[in-house]
Amino acid sequence: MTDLLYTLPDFSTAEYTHLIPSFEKNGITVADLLTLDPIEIVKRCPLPLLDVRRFIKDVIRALQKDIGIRDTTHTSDDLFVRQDQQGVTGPVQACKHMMGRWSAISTLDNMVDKVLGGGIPTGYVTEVTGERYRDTPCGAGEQI
Amino acid sequence: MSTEAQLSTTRLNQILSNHQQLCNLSTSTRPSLGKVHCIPVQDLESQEHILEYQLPIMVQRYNIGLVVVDSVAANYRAEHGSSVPKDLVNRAAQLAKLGRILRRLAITENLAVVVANQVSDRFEPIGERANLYTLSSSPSISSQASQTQNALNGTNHKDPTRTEIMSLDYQQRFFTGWGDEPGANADDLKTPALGLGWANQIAARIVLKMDGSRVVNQTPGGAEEYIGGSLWRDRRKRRFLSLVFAPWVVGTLTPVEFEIRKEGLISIGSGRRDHEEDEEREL
Repeated sequence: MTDLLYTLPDFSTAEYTHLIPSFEKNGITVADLLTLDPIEIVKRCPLPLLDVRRFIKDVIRALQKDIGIRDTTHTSDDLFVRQDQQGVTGPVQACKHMMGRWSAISTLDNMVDKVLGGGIPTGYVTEVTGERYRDTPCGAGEQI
Repeated sequence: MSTEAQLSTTRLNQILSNHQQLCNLSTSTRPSLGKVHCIPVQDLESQEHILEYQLPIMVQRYNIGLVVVDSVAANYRAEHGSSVPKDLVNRAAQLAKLGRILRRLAITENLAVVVANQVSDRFEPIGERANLYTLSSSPSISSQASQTQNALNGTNHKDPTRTEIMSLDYQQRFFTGWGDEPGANADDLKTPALGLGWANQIAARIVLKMDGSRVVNQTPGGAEEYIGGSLWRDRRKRRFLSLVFAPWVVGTLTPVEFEIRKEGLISIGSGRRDHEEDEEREL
């Protein structure tokens, strides 16, 4: 479970302290939990099957909540140590939430902004690539 | 975050004092360099450490809205020079981690993340046979994988066209930004560094190209007149910007021509006219 802390930093492991050391010892990752049959996992680490099943279910629910596709009515709040999401429920709401905070940084040129759909948007990783040419009048290469 | 050269603050000042939109602002609302922070990064180890631990804190502390990493590839290329599949797999895993850090930062802090990437030359296959063993100065894992698969299938694969269409060498034109436009010169093709593994980490890719060959001194007869001298000096350089992919807007079909001037990046062509019309109307 070396990557659980990275994947779900706020996931409460209080209930599952007896499972985690064994997962860690046998190199079970979050991806393994999601893709392998619980029986397969139990074969690799000697743990009670029911507990493992319950743990997997909670991890899946926590992941779904993390990306905002989980209906909160079915999610127990004790899954998270910290509650800072302000009521994002369901994919539609999640989209609305995203649209509500859509903003972009202008490139200071109308045409370029138009091509980019408003500019360099926040919330995304944008890559700029190309060859560097250093012989511009400003001597600035492609730094813009 | 700069990995290659120091941040050119003189250039930022130049844009600030020359751009019309910025000049028109009153001194109190005008942006200044006071909130620009620069982190020089020497090696990959410190790059990863800063991105993962120091940058998130800095973003919160200074209420930062834009993070620029220039360039993301330099340290990876310096320290992961080998093209052995095993090393490439390791590199892809590291890039996935880097992508996750940047995405998380962009989403949780609602800031814009811009990464500059380098390009390498693309070597197009020569003839039929070369399709199987395409060389590239920055080979990606999938390219390697498809090569081995092709090599395994060897002579008895049934549908060569299908195999070719499914291959990375064929499909990379859709996401690298080079090779999709009609009449592209095979010699000019580039591939953004860090391969498919990195292309999957970014949301949008903007490609900047310079074309020296399209504008030639055309004689009235239409023939290209060119006798000796430096190619670059004789021909007017034209720069183009295109959006290759993005989740929020359709990619550009015809690249936007632009120039780098004192006031920054300025588009020319149809957009320029719109801009001027707008200004005239305002006057």
